[in-house]
This record gives sequence, structure tokens and C-alpha cells, in this order.
Amino acid sequence: MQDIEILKAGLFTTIQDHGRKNTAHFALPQSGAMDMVAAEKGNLLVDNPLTHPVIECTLLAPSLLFHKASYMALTGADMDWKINGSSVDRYKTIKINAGDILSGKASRNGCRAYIAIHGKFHIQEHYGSCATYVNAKIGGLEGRTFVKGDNLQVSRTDPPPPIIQLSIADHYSAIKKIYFDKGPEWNLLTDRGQENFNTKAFTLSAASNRMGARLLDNPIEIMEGKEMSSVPVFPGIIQIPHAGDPIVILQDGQTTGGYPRIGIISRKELDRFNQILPNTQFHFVMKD
Amino acid sequence: MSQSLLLHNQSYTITSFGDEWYRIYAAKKLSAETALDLTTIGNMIQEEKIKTIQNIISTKDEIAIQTKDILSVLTQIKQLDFDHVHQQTKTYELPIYFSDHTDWERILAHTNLSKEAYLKLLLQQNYTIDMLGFLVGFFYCKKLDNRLQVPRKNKPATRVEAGSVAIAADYIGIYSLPSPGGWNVIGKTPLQLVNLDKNPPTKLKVSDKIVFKAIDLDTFGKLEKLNLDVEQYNARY
Repeated sequence: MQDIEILKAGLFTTIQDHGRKNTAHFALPQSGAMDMVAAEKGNLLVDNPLTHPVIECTLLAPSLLFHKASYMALTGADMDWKINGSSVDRYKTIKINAGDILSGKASRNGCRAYIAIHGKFHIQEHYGSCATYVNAKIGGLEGRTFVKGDNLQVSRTDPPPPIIQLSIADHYSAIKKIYFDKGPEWNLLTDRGQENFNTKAFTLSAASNRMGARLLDNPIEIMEGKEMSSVPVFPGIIQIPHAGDPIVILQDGQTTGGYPRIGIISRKELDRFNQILPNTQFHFVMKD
Repeated sequence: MSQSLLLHNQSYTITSFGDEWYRIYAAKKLSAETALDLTTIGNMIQEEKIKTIQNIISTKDEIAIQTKDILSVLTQIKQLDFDHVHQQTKTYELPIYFSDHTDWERILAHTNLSKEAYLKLLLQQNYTIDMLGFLVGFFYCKKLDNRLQVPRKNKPATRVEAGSVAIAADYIGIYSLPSPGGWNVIGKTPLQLVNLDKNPPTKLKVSDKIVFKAIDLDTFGKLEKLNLDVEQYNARY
């Protein structure tokens, strides 16, 4: 029996959760929600364990038809959400009636939105997680992004959640600075490279995805030298390929790499970083 | 945080790396005869399944550990017996169709070799799996002959096909899944090297030996249809 039907897929809509543990040694990335705090708040609002899978929406909202009464919460980016055409609050427990349709638009504030549903999706776990990882086609709906006509089943849980409203603390449009720590190969940057990294703005490339963010408009100079051997990398690491445009390793990113690891964005800061809209500018600020 | 750790009579440095990761690396350059390489140490730590380790990534020069309790992790690492390492290694033949991939132009220009001369040098040597990394099912083999070496691309390709065999610096590697990649593609294997319904998902392990075997397009097509993994292929051929 279908509980939720996907009427419109959105741009890159997937199931995500807390991600995988103990898989990096065979080079399977952690995956999981790009903005973990927003995903957790969604689960909190529908009285789920914080680690439950949620729907992650990227830049453009999907549209969902609820075939059964349920409870839902919308967190993260503002996608101008509506139920049956009427605007609904984000960061609030919302009661859903059978036949309700959730719809939205392109994100106007933030990059990733989350839809949390009271109960648990019927999804096969891979290595202890339902997180979708499209490169290996695992997790979520057959390891891929949503398509029109997909169905989601949700196990019922009782009792219904209390209706809660959280203050909307997430003003993503205000993200102009991202804090980072120096990485092990920071000293492979030239003096000018270090200076430019700390002072000039970067633009988030539209070619970014869940594997990595490409940063444009401020190529960073590294010292001429021999090739590095491959070393461990993980979400939050800032690499500089030879061409100079930095790449930030993200949730679906590789586990080793051979480019200098010049910086690292901490886990919580990465939640903010992952809400920056493509083609917008920001600065890196080194932590003390 | 930075402290030192003595394993197998070698001194290693541990430093924090972001808010939940730690790096372990040799304090001084290790002497090749006496030192255990870090990949071996990392694999031993991983096989110990220490509960407080969330993730571990091992490479030749560095181990990275994700944990919320580094002190308990270090205590348990110190108790491991690194003086008695036993590893069983296997040798596998891997069939490769050396295609006309566009990267050959770059490779031949850089090495000043003909494709025939390049492949002759490539195939006269066996390779050892040095590391699993980058992405699931990506195998690194080191010690590519220096006449065959080509640097990584300045700008990674947005898509490299599953089964691609590629070179970069002194590495030769295999992409088991499609992914972006900065290495120079030389050919493709028809074998299925990764199965994500199994744990672990790959049969090939670090220290296993690989013998590349050149096959033609016709053989590639036939083998691809059979959907064999590396053990099934080696049992049959």
C-alpha cells in the first residue's frame, strides 16, 4: 500500500539519515544529511529518533501526495512550501490529512530542505544506514534520486507527536563567512595562495554536488613540487587540485585523495556551508 | 592535540584533524626494512573492531581515525601485537581491454612511447594492491615503471566509467564504480569487482597481487556478459 506518492521529483531529492559508520576503510563514504542539524530538527518535530531517515530536497522542491493521515515537519531551506495551495510554516509539526498535497518552489533561502515524516520509511539498510549514495546505487529508493511516480511506505507509530514549533534560527542567506582550520598541507600554499585564501571571496560552483563543492573565482597558488601520495580525506576537507580551484569534500566524497589538504571545515560548520546557494559568494575565515 | 605513539619500535605522531578526526603518521621517515607500513597497521586496527572508532582510513603514509574518545582508542591500539603480523595474500589475473580512450593521446605525448611499447612495459610487471580508497572498489597499485608515469589531470574528468583502469604518478588504479576522476584511463576490465550487498563488498584485499592480461574487444564483450567477480574468473580461466 502506498502511503506517500511522489508527484514531482524536485531537482535532487533523496532519502538521507545519519549516514554510515565503519565503511570508510573499504572506501564507502559516510553519506547522510548535508545539513544534519536541520534533519535532526525535522525528526525532533515529528517525535522520531534523531537518526531516522528524512527526505532531503536540493534547490527545487518535490511535490508529495499523502494517501494516509500523518504528521510532517519541514526544516532547512525555505522552498515556499504549501499544502493544498496554502502556505505552511517551517519548523513546526504539521498534521496531514489523507489526500493532502505538499508542494513548493525553487529555494529562495538555503540549498537543502528536509521533510520529516512521523514514523519510519520502509527502506532497506545498507551497512547500517538508509542514506542514499547514488554513485554506488545504495540506500533510499534503489540508490537513486526520486522520480515522479515513486511511492514511500511509512510504518505507523503511536502515539501521535505533540505539535511543536521551533524558532527559525536558520537564516542561510546571511552565510557570508565559513570558518575553517588549517589542514596538514596548508604550508604547500605559496604566501600569495595563503593570503588569497584568507582574504578573497569564493563563488560556489553550480557544478557542486553531494560528493564535493567546487569553488571558483579565487584560484589558489600551490608550490611547485612532486606529486603527493594519496592520503585520507573525509567530509569537510578542503583540497587544492593543481588548477587551483578548491574542492571541499562532502558527505558522498571519496575517502582518499592526492591533492593538498589545506584546510578543514568542522562538522557543524559544514551544515552551514552546505546551505550556501550555488553561484553565491562567501569568504573563508581561519579559526584562531 | 599532538602526542607520540610507539608501535613496533617506531615512533608515530598523532594530531587532531578537525573536530572528530585524528591523523597517525611516522614521526621520522621509516627505514624500509624494519618498519611496518601504516596500511598494515591500519588494517590490524580495523580488524580489531574497536567500538569507539567510528571510521578508519589507512594509507601508506597516514591513518585517519574518526572517534569521540581518542584516549580509549590509543589505549587499545597499544595493546595490539604488531610484532606478529600474518597476512594471507592471493594472486589474481585481471583481464583488461586496452581501449582507444582519449586519455591515450595525453599519455603517449607525456611518455614519448608508442601504445605498443607502453603496454609491453606495463604488462611485463605484476602489481600489488597497495590501498583501497578514493571510492568503494577503487584499488591502488603502486610502483608503476617510471617510464610509464603521467601526472594526474589538472582538472578531473566529470565521469570515468566503471571498470576503468587508470594511471597517475607511480600508481595504477581501478575504478569499480562510475565516478569523477583525475587519473589517465588506459583500459577497462569486464569483471564485477564490487558487490554492495556483501560486507566487505570487495574480494580483492590490500597486499593481493594482480597480473594484468590484455584482452581484445571481442573477449571483453563475452566476459562482460558473464558478470563474473575476480574469484569466479580466476577459478574458470
